[in-house]
Amino acid sequence: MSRIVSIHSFRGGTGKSNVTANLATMICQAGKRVGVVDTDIQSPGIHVIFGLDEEKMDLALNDYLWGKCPIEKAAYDVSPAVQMGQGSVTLMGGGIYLIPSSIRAGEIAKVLREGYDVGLLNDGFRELIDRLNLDFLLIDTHPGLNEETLLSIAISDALLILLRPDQQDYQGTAVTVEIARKLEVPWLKLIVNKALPSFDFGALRKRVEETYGVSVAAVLPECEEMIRLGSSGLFCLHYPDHPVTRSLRDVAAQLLA
Amino acid sequence: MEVRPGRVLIVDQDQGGRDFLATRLKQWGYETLIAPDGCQGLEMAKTAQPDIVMLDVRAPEVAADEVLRSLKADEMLCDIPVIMLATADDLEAVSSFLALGAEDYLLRPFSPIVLKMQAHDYIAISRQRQEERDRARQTGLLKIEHDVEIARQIQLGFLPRDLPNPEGWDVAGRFHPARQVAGDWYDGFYMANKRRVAVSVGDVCDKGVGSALFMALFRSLLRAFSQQNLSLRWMDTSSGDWLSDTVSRRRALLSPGTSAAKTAVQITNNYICENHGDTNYFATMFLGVINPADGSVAYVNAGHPAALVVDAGGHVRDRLKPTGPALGLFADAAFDVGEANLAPGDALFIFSDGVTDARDAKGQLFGEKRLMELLSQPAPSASALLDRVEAGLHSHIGTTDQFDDITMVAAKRHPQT
Repeated sequence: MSRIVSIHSFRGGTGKSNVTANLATMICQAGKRVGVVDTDIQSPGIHVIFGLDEEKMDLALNDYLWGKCPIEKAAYDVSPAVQMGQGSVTLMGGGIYLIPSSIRAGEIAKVLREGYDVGLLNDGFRELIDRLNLDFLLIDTHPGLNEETLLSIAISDALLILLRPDQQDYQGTAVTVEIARKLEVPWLKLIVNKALPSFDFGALRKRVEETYGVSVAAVLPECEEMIRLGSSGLFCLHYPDHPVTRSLRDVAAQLLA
Repeated sequence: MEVRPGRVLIVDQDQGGRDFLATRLKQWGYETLIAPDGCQGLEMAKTAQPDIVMLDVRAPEVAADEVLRSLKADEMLCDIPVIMLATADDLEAVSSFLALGAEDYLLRPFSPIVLKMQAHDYIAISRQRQEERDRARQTGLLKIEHDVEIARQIQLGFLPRDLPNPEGWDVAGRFHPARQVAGDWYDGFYMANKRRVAVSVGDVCDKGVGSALFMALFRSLLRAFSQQNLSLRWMDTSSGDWLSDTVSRRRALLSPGTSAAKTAVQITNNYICENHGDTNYFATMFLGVINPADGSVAYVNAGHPAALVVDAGGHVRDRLKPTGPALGLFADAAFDVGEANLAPGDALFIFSDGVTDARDAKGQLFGEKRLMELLSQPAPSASALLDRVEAGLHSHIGTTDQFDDITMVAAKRHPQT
């Protein structure tokens, strides 16, 4: 039974794309076939973390939305990037397939200007799962409330909401949680990201859980390594024993359960 | 054809003058009408429609200039020649009457020769003017007929030239106006990168030219808005209805085309209510969005007769009933989206009430029962199905005038081989 997982945050800069990319990697390492869709059409970026060169990006999600190609033709096997950290260990049946959004200004402008039937994403996700035989489909969303995020939340089996320990994030998260509740998302958890290492993580976790009535899957510290890596690669492969990696592995395990 | 004698209306306050004119004119074979004053003169002109009017410049009650103005202002009387009756002292007044439109004048004491000539000539002129007016009216009517014929052609252009026929399906439509122009429409077009096919039938209340104008408006608004990428505004998470749906239904409703169809219906409804609410025109409509890949149908039925799902064996296994009121009745009305499914071999049959309301010579309705009987025999294609219903209607109606517009669409999924 395939699972659709949306990773969302009310505001930008919370670390969604990095969390999505790393979770996808860990789920793949567990032997699963994972699809990752960048639905952030206005400001795409997750392809950078997977090391997918824009020049090599012939077709993207945009082309599917314009009816130019079937969605699976816009999927790129980024598993090699994942294998990098494994050395000689072969992945058992796993793989990652990334469907990026176009980084070309003209393409982005076209979408903003003409819009598209958001229902196409619904069709597209199902087709991806069928045709690529996916166990998981991870959806990286644009921050805030918009048609794509509403659709993703409505059709998802699991929703991870990211927030930083920041007043703006706290307020915005309340809105998203309310909507997720009303849409009866079957599995809903929060990830508090970029917490100062000096914070009391236990108290923070407790306070957040009490505020929203939603369980916290992980509290991730802000760290220099992440900043230095600067989205140039997969953190969990570069720092397999880092606390952040270990926490994320925990989250992946919760998703795989 | 009998040529009736010329009719002369004499409006003269002078008894002597009246008698003289009447006697002479009658001698010459003319019909005369007498009025002693302007008031009665006008009355008689309106009721009797004389060929010429002889008007005393000093007519009492309603003064002569008033009478003249009234005659010349009246569409039915303005062509009647008016001859002023005056004395030599009135010549100045006569010029002003001529300026007001009087054709001529006759001086007292009246000369029989001049009178005879004027009567003869002006009645001839009057008759000529009448003929021209009749010809103009005839041309006007022909022009209207011509315009209606043009309207009919243009309206046919509002119907789709070809209905979409995706692989594994055939889609056909039939359109029979009761008069030259109809208040019904049918439509079919692709949506969402050809992943969906929309089919619809609509029916504007009443028949004829008014309905035809609204037909064009309704159909155009629906088609234009359906093909916009309109936002998911219906997913109003603060309202209760959408949220009570199960997760699987919600996912089905988030299909391409569904949100566009529902929003198009809502916008059209609000547009008509806001802009044409006082005309009291409304339309019923059925709009179905078919996914040709799996036969699923999302539909909005705005007060329209239920569309039928007919299986391969001819059995009606589902009725797609109204999901909201007719369009143009209530501003901000809510329209729900219904779901149906067409298995291989099934057909979706959409029709306007002109089908079931079709009357025979005795006034008997065609009715649902007869329709079901016709649908109960398997049909190899959408066209064949419609042909059969058409034939049934034709034999039922016979030579009676068609009562209401008849419109039908059928979308049939090929049976799996």
